[in-house]
Amino acid sequence: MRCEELDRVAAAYILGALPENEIAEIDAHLVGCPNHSIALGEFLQPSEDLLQATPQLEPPAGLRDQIMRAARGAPVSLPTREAREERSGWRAPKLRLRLLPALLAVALVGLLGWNLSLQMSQGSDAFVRYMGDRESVHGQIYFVEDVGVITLEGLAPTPEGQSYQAWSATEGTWVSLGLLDVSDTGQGFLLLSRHVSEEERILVTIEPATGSSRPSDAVVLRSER
Amino acid sequence: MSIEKTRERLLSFESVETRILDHDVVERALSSLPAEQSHTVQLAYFRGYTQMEISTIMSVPLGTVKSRLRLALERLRTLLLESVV
Repeated sequence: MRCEELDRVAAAYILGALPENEIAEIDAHLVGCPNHSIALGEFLQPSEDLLQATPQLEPPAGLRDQIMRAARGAPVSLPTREAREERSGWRAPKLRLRLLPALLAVALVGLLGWNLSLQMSQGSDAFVRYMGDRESVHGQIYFVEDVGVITLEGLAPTPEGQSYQAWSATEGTWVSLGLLDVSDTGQGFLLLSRHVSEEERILVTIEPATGSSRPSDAVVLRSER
Repeated sequence: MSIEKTRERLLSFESVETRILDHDVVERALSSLPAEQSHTVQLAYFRGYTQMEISTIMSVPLGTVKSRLRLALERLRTLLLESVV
C-alpha cells in the first residue's frame, strides 16, 4: 500500500472500519513508514475519546454473566441452545463482541434507533418493537442482525423463589426465551439466544426461579402482533 | 481488533495523552458534527461496520464514506482538544 492510499483510509483504519486484509496491509506499511504512524496518531486521540460516548448506564450483573456465557458459546438460558436449534432449524450465531457496545446502547437508552431505521430501509434483519403501555409493564424488543435484547420496565419484585420468564410463539406453541434479569428499579433485561421475528407473539410470565417448560397463568405482559 | 492493534503500534510513535473526558463532552462533540458524519462514525465505531458496508447502508459512494470519516475525526480532534484546554 502506498502512502497516498493510506491517507485516504487512515480514519477508517483508526476507527476499525476496514476488512482484516486491508488492516494487515496497513500494519505492514507502517512498519517501514514511521512518519505515517505519527500522522495516524493524530486520529488516535479522538478515537480513544469516543469510548467515552458509550452510554454510561450500568446493566444488571446478571446481564453481564449472560453476555459472557453467550460470548463463550455456552447456552444462555432455558432451554438449551441445541434444543432450540434442533426444534426451530435456526442456527444461533456466535455473539459478535463488536456489536455488544452498540447493542447495549440500543437496549439501554435507544440511542441508535436511527440506525435501526437505516437497516430496516435496507431490508436487513433489524427491528424495534414496543410492547405494553406506560401504565403497566412495558418495554421493547430489539433485534439487530443476529443479536436481540428484550428490555422491560415497571416490573414488580417477584415473590421469593420466582422469576420473570419470557416466551414467544409464531403458531400455537409458546417457546421459552429465557429468564429475565431484573434490577432493583424494576428494569428487566434478557439477551436473546435465538432468532425472534417481528411477527412473533411475546409473553412474560412469573415462573419458578429455575424456569418452566410452559407458561403459567401469571401473565405480566402479553404482546400480540 | 484493529483499534487494539493500532493503539499498540501508534503508542510507540505518538504520546497519546492519558485523559478521561467527560461522557457529556464527547457526546456533545459527536452530536455537533454534521448528521451524516456523526452517523458514519457511529456505524463504524460503535457498530463495527466496514466502510464498504457503510457505503451500502447509507447508499453513498465509498469515497464519501472515507471523506466523512476523515472529516469527522479531524473535527472531533479539534473539538475535544478545545474542551481539554
